[in-house]
Amino acid sequence: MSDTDDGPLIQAVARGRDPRAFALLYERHTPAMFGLALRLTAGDESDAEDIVHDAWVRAVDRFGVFEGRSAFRSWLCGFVVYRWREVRRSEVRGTAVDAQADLDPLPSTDARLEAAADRVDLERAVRSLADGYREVLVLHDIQGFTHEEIGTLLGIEAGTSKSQLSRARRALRKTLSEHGGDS
Amino acid sequence: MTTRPDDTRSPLLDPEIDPPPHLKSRVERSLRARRLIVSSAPSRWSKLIAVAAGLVLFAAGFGLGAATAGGEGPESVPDAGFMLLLFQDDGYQPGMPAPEVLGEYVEWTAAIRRGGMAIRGEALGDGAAVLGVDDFESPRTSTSPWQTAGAAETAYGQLVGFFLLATNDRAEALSIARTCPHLRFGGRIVVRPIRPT
Repeated sequence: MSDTDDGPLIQAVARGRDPRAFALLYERHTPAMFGLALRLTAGDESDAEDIVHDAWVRAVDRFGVFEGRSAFRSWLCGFVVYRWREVRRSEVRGTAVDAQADLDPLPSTDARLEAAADRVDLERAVRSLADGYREVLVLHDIQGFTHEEIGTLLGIEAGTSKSQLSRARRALRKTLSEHGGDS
Repeated sequence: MTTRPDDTRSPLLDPEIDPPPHLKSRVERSLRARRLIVSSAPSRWSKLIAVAAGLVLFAAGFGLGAATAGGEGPESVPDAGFMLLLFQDDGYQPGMPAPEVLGEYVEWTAAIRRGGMAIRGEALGDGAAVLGVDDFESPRTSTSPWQTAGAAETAYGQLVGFFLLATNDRAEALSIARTCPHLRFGGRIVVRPIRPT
């Protein structure tokens, strides 16, 4: 879905508070927002629902200042990430990840691993990652964000995002192999 | 916009997951409560309730004469100092059959009359014509300004009716409005003083 298609709908909500325009935007983008939230919360549907709800409310409140400098879906997903980070901070949980890690070059994708891994096992493995690893891996490998976008979202350098992703992928492989996914 | 990730393979997992069906209505309720969107066109249920409310308000207005000082009759509310404007949107859910809804309003107005205060209510019909300065003495006749229900949405939903209260006491008007079943059913009431003439 292009931003051009979204533009008139965004304006209709921002200026006219049009519920039908909002319903169309909701149908288009919520599956991606919910997919992101569900992965970030390691599969907690209740938390994911709360996060998407809060993200929509905050986003709609700011429709009038959306400048289109980023893709609309990326902008929406930013609210999901921000809200999830607030929730995570409030829960004081998760594993700290070294944000200043060396900027390892990205390893090539292990196609064999991906081909062999059952989707369910893979989903479980993603959930088992530490919050910081899971965050970057979900944003990059599942949601398709660039490292520059992830850097903006998370307040880190793009290079740090790359190194986090490298470590996250290694951790993911390790988890999958320990459970027989890489045999 | 920066470039997409450094490879073109499919994502590890589908980035999209269907949200629970009830999430949409939850989000919409929150947006309506914050005035970020207005209500959708009235549903068949709310239209039914609007009809019921019309009957209720008509019934409430009829028979006021007995309680109206001076016996001016059912159409009169002498010294009406406040107006209660009744709004409703999809959040208006009485949760009971229309006749019982009607009964709630009738009992409410009857109780107010028994307390010695005149009250008159009216319901508004479907449709609205929203006119502005461009319409002033406009010769335009090709299009009708009348629109179907839902066209004249306000921040509080549709204006569906009103009550006139024979009091000039703001606290008393508010106190009475707070007891109106319309609030309990999920509607909104705007209390406005009537400017003396």
